[in-house]
Amino acid sequence: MKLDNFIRETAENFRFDVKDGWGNENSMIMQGLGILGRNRDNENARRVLGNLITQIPYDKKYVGIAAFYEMENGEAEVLDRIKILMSGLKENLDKEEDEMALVFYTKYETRIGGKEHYQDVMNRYRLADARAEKNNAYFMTAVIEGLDSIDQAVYEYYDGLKRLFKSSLVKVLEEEEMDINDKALAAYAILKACRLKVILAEKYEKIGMTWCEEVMAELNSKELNRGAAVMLVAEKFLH
Amino acid sequence: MELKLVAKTSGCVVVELTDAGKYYTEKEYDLYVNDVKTVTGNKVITSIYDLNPDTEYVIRAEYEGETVAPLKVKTDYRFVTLNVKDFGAYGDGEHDDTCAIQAAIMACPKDSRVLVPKGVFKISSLFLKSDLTLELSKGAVLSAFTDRAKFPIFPGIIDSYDEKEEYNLGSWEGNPLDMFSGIITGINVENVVITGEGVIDGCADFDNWWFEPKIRKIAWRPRLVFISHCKNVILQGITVQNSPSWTLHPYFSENLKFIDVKIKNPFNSHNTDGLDPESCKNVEVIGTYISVGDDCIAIKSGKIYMGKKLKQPTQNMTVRQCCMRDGHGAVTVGSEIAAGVKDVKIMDCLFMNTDRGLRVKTRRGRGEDSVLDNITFENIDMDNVMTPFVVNSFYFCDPDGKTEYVSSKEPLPVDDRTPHIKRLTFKNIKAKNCHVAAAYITGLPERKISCLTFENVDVSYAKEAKSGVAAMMTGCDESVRAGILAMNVEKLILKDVHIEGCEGEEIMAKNVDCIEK
Repeated sequence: MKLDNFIRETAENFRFDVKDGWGNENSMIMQGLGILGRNRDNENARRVLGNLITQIPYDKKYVGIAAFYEMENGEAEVLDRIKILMSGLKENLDKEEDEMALVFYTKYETRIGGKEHYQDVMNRYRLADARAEKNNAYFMTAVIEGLDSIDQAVYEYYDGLKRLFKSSLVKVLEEEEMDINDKALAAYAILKACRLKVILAEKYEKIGMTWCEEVMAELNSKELNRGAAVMLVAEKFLH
Repeated sequence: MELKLVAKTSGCVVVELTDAGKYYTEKEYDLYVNDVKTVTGNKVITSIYDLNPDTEYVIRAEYEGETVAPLKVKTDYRFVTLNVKDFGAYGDGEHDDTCAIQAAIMACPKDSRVLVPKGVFKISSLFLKSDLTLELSKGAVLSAFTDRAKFPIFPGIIDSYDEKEEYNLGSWEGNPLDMFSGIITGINVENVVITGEGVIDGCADFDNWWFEPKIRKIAWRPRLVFISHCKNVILQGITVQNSPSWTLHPYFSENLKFIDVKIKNPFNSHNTDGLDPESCKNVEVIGTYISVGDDCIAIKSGKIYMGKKLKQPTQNMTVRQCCMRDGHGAVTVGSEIAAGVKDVKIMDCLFMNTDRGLRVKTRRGRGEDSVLDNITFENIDMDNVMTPFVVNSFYFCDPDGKTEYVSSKEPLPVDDRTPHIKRLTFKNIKAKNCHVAAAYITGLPERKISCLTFENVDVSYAKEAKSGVAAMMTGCDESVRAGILAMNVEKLILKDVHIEGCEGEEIMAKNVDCIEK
C-alpha cells in the first residue's frame, strides 16, 4: 500500500516544469508508469501515463521511451510523435551524451526502423561506455533498457549489450559509495537484469534487493529522484 | 542389381535394392525372408519388421522374375523389452502418458528396447537416454499435446557461476534463444535408436502452434525431435508429422542416420522444415520421404553468434535415395550457416513440386567462417520444381535482412562479415516441368562463387509454366521459363547442358570471370 501510495502521489504531482528541464526525472517517472501499466496491468498508471503523454511537448527528448509503452496500446498518434522525436534525435546523435537516448534509438530500430542501424546503436553504446566512468549506475540502466528493447533474433547485438551490462555491473559493484539515486538505479538495473536472465539471479538478486530495500526506506527523501524510484518500485513488483 | 544391408536392430532389417531406381524402384518386387514372401514393395530402401532378435535370416529379392543374390543377416541381441503399458501408460488418446513412457525410458537397460504398442499415447516431451532403443509398433502413435503450459522450457543461454562459460540449451533459427523442449528430446546422449512403423504426431494446427508463428509466446515453438550434442543416433522407419516447427533438428551432434523415415507436414504449415542438421557431422539420410511446408532438408551451422563462437560447420553429410516434395526447397543450405557447410553429397533422389531444388540462402554479415564448399548434387530427377537451382547471396528474410548492406549489388569491402561460396557441382540432373527459371545463381560482387559446375544437366519447362520469383532477394523480378542466370562467379563450367523451351537467352552470365564448356 505504501508503494501504491507513492506511485499515485508521484503521478498526481507530476509537473512538466521540474528543475531538470525534461531530463531524467520526468522521463523516468513515465518509464516507470509505463512498466507498471504494462506488467501489472495497473489501470491507474496507464491512465495517468496516457493523460500525460498527450500533454507533452514532443520536442522533449527521452519522452519517446515512455511513448513506446503507449504505442503498445495501439495509439497511432503516438507513433507519429515517436517518428518526429526520432528525426530530432538523429540530427543530434553525435552530440547526445545522455545514454537514455540510446534506449529510445534501440526501441525505435526494433519497432520501426527495421533494425538496419543496430550496428550504429551498438557503436554508440560502446562510446557511451567509454565515457560513463562516473555514472555507471545510470549507464547500466540505459543498457538494461536497451537489452529489453533489442530483438534477440539479431543475437550478436543482444550479446554485445549483455557484455556491456556485465562490465558496467562490475564497476558498480566496485564503487565504494553510492548516493541514494545511484543505488536506486543500480538496484533497478540489477533486478531487471536478473528477471530478464541477463545475469545470474542466484548471484546478484540479493544485492539488488538489499539496495532496493535501502531506497524504499527513503522514499520520502527530498534527495530521491522520483523517476528512479518509480522505476524501481515498478520493477520490485515483478519480483 | 544387388541386395545390400543398410541397417539392423534386434527386430528389424533395412535393405537396399541397388540399381533399381531413385527412391522408387522401376518395378514392384518381392522380398522373401527365409523363403517366406514378406514384403511386396516399390522402394529402393525397405524395412523388414517383426524379426526375432539374435537370429540369422536369409533375405532375397525377386525382381521381374529374377532372383537377386540373397543377403545373410543376423539381427542384434536383445536383453529385455519394456512395454510402456506395463509402466502405466494407457494408450487411449486421453490420459497423459508422458510419465509412464518416461519411466520406461529411464529404466531401460543396455541392449533392450522400450516398446510402444498399438494405441494413441498422449505426451508432451519425452527425454531420451543413452543406450536406448525406442520402438513404435505398427498402429502406435505418440500424440503430442499442444498446450504450451505442458512443455518444459529450454533457456537459450545459462551462464556458468563464474561467468566464464555458457551452457546453451534452447535454439531458434540459429540463435541461442528460449524454446520449448522437443516432443522427443535428447541432450548429450549416445547410442540411441528410434525405430518402428509407428507415428510421432506433433498435432500442430493453425489453431495452436502455427497460429501467429512469428511471435514468441513464452518461448519459441518446439521441434518434433530435438537432439543436442548427441552421438550415434538412428531414426528408422517411423513417421513424423504435423510438427510445431522444424521436424527433426539435430544440433551439434555426430554420427546420425535417418533411414526410411517419413516426414509429413501440410504444404502450408509454417517453418515446418523436414530435417535441419545444424553444426553436425557425419550425417546420412537414406530412403527418406519428406513432404513439408518449408524446406525438406535445410543444412545449417548457426547464425552469427553461434557460428563465430563455436565455429562448427555441418560437414560430411550424404543424402541418397530420398523423395522430397511440396516444400519451398528440396535441399537448402542456409540461411543460418555462419560456421559453414562442407562436403555434402546429395545423390539418387527425387525432387517433386518444390519451389526450388537446391537452394542456397546466404547474405553479407554471415561472416568469414561461413564457407560453403564441396556441395554436390548427382543423379537427381526433378519434376514440377519451379526453379531447380537457386543460389542467393542476398537473402533478405532475416530480422535485419532488408538493409542496404545486405541488398547492395555493388561490391562492398571484404571484411570479417563476408561469406564465401566455393565449389558447387550439379551432375546428371534431369529437371522437367520447370516454371520460373532453370537456375538463378548469385554470388557477391566482392567475393564471387569460386567454381560452379553444371554437367549433364537437362532442363525443360511445363506446358503451362507459372511465373514466379526465383530468389528471395531485392532485385529478383518475376520470371517464367528463364534460362540459367549466373552472376558474380569466378569459374562457370557448363558441360552437356540442355535447356529446352526457354524464353530468352539460355545462359545469362554477368560478372563471370571464366566460362568453360
